[in-house]
Amino acid sequence: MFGKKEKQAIARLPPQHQALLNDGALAVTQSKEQWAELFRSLATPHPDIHRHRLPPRLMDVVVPIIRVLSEDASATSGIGVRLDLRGHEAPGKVGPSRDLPTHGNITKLSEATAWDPWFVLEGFLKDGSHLELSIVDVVRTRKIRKRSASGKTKWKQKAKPAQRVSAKLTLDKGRGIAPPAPSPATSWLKVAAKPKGPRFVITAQGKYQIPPNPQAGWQVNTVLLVVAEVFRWAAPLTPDGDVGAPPPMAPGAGGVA
Amino acid sequence: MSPAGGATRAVRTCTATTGFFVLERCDRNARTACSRCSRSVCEKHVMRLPGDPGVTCPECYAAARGFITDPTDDMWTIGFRRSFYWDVSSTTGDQTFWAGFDDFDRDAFDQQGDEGEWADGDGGFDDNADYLDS
Repeated sequence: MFGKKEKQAIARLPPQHQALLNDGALAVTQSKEQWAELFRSLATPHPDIHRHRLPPRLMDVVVPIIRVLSEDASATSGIGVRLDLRGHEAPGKVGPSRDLPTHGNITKLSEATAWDPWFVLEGFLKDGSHLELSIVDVVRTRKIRKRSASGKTKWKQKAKPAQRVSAKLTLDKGRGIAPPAPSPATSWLKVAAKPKGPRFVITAQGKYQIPPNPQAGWQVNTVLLVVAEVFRWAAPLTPDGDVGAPPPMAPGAGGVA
Repeated sequence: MSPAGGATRAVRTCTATTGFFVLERCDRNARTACSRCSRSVCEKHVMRLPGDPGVTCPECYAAARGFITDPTDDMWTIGFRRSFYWDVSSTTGDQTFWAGFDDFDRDAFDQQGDEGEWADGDGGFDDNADYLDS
């Protein structure tokens, strides 16, 4: 039977690897050791698997980000990740289409917006804080019908992708914040730190257009810059790992940039 | 020399840097020392470069291998951590971000400098030298 060998090869893989190959999606909470095992499986060549390919952005964006954040993960709790790498045109992601006013030789113009939350991560860190990270692609698609001077009708489609990255760090009890000096490099980020009970919650949100031909590593560096910003706002730990005493700004003082 | 009636013994701990944003030291009991930077390392963090009889710490191992682009490589995060801290510090103009990482690494060497006997002898430790007399 056609593809039997490939199906058998996929069946021998870890279930998470199978989910990525078959569905392009994965929702799992597991320890950093289990993540490392999955990455080893993903990196291993599987000569019998030809038709099923790993989704784009998995190896060059998702794996580096999870590897970096698993370095800080608590040894006793897992890292939860919800991945959906099917792309922004997958069913359920594209919103309703609406017609826009036409002009000139444009006889029809419709617009739809896709909301694609393709990466969501959360987990407790070894310093007692809790990190949440989400990446959402927002893609505006326009379908244009044109009539040329010779009477021919042409369809054209334009997509304008933007991305929203959000990081939220809930600090350990009693740990304060230390807002860094403003920098033009992170001025596109909206950062806020608010007390919530005995803890500070630092959030950083960024929205930007995805460049058409980004450099290698651009996506990872951009996402991790957002994550770095929330850590830059947290008061440093003392060398023995305890929270600083007294913190530069104790919970209750508040602060927003 | 151990004073009669009970000697105090200082445990030599591994000073390998762990974590990415939450920087810490390993703090396990050290087994040996890096032949390049002489920081003490535990069994988990002992690395061996091909063709080099001495053991190295993860930082020196990663530096000797050069920048690794494959994120599935075991040593990728160490090289990436250094370059990322450098990049963030450069782009944001926040020297404290890089300095924090730099200080953290340098602290390990400062500690060794304080305990001068660590650099004595052949520069390495034998497997039975887990503890130092203080």
